[in-house]
Amino acid sequence: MSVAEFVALLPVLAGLGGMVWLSSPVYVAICFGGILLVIAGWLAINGAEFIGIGLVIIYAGAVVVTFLFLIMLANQTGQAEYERAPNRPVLAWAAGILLFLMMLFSTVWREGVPGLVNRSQMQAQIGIEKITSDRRHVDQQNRAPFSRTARLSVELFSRFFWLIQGSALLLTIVMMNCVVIARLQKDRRGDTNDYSSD
Amino acid sequence: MTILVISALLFCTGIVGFCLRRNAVLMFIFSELMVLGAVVASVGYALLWAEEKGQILGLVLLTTAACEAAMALLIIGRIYRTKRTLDIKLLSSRGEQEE
Repeated sequence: MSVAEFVALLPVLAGLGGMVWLSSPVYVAICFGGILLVIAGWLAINGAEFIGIGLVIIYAGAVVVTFLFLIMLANQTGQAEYERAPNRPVLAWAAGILLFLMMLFSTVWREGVPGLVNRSQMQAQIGIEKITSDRRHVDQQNRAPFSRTARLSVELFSRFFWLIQGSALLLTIVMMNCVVIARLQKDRRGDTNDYSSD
Repeated sequence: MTILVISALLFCTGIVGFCLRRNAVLMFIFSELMVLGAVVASVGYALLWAEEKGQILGLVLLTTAACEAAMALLIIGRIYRTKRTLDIKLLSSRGEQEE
């Protein structure tokens, strides 16, 4: 990890620390939004511009705003006893640290462990040559004039067309479901006003 | 490789926060953090292998997370309106008493 990468990682670490230690749900949601913006910038710089913009629009623009709306609607100030007292802290930290070490071992440290199949051997077994950063750069130059985002859109609307249509259908079903649940609530309260014609 | 470390950090902090908190909204925010970790891992592998497929998986994960957020926030809002609390322990003990 280079110094520049570590410096870019610091805001994420600060945001994660704020999320774990702050008790007010509003501040936690704002920290989450900050982490999303940093991650989106990180992805955009590293060549995943489309996902980076998607993160900002979908997560920071829609999901975090809805979180804040619900927090304010439920009047969550972070002062209640259940919001300040941690729930099983030892177990939570032990599980988190153990899982983090396991993830590091399976992705980053595994290369140097003797007796285990490392990534190069796996690539050789399934017939994929090792892709170095130089090779990636040359590949990207050879695929010009299309940008990465243009290549992604070609893939989306050719090989993965039905996958994207399925995702769109899922979103539509969820939207209809939300409307149905909201109307059920209104009917149970005995509110007879019909807003469907508005 | 840094991007994979970041994704592991996001996922594990999500687990820690989910286990630590008792507020339903905060627990849900931490579960979204775990999904974000999964998205970053898939995009990270896509960048590492110079492939577009991982980014497409990340896009589908984002869509699923948006659907999940919409449904879960609606349900949490409904629980708050009927029970007037978001304390998970209290809600589960009330549920046991009702049974």
